[in-house]
Amino acid sequence: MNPVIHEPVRLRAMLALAKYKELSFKELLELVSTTEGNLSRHLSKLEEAGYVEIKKFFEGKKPKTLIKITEVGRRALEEYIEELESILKGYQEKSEE
Amino acid sequence: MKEKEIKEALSALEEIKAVLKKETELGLRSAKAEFLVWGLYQASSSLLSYFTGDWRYIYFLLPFFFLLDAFKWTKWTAFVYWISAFAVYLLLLSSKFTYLSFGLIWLITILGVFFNMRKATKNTRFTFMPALWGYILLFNVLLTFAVVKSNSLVLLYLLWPGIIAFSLGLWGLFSEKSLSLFSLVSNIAGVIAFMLFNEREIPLTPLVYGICYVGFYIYLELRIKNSRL
Repeated sequence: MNPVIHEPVRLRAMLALAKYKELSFKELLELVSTTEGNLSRHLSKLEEAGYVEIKKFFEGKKPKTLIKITEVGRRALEEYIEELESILKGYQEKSEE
Repeated sequence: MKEKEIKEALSALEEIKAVLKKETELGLRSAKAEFLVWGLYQASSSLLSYFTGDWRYIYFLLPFFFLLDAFKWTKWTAFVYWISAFAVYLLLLSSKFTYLSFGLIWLITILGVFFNMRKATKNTRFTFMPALWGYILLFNVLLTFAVVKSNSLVLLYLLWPGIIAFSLGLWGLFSEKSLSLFSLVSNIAGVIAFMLFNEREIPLTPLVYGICYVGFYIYLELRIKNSRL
């Protein structure tokens, strides 16, 4: 399984971003339920892998961060979910035997 | 199949469930506040209309509840909205042009709803609500003119809260199924109350809706607290 996505905080962040396309750091923090520092660290890893884009800018005098899932990230998440489904399907068939 | 792989897949599945649960919780939290504000509006406008015998309290009170709802907005939009709505309200009290004043109040209210759009577009979770309120209010303007012109004013007490409850139920079909149940229960209760009340008591019909709204607020509160999502 893809080790970049297969980490609880990164998986939650990728799922939330796949649904909402673009979220502010604050909104993502609410959905992922972790600390600011932890989320920042994991977002950097996702950015390094090319799965998300992070835009930092000022809205008036306030700094703002927007995070967006990339096409590469979306494909990687889809592959991850497909792999997850096939493992769970195999597990289900095995336990039914 | 390796046991480790299965364990990892199951833990990933738990993470997916956690995100879905959190998303539902956040959606319900924002819906919860709406139900309390609008439940109190239905109840207070109903009681004031009943005790004063003036149906216009349905309109007089509306901007104030939009202001209450506006606490969730940014401080500047809330400030501009408060000032504008108060000005219109004072104008309304001293004006003999009731229809014109109603029109202004609706305009301000609808503008207030769409002011919030900027925030709404940032997150799809909030996108639908302002548009929904816009449609409900626009429909109510037409409804008011129709019932006042046809001299069947009593229908307003049933149709106005009924339309809000129906619209919220329709919204629920696409997001949260319990909203549809709320819509069904409150509309049935509203129609029964409307039929049972005598002419003097008919202004109390929105109070029945208000009780259903507050009841649904309590239900959402308990559901979030017990994490039964």
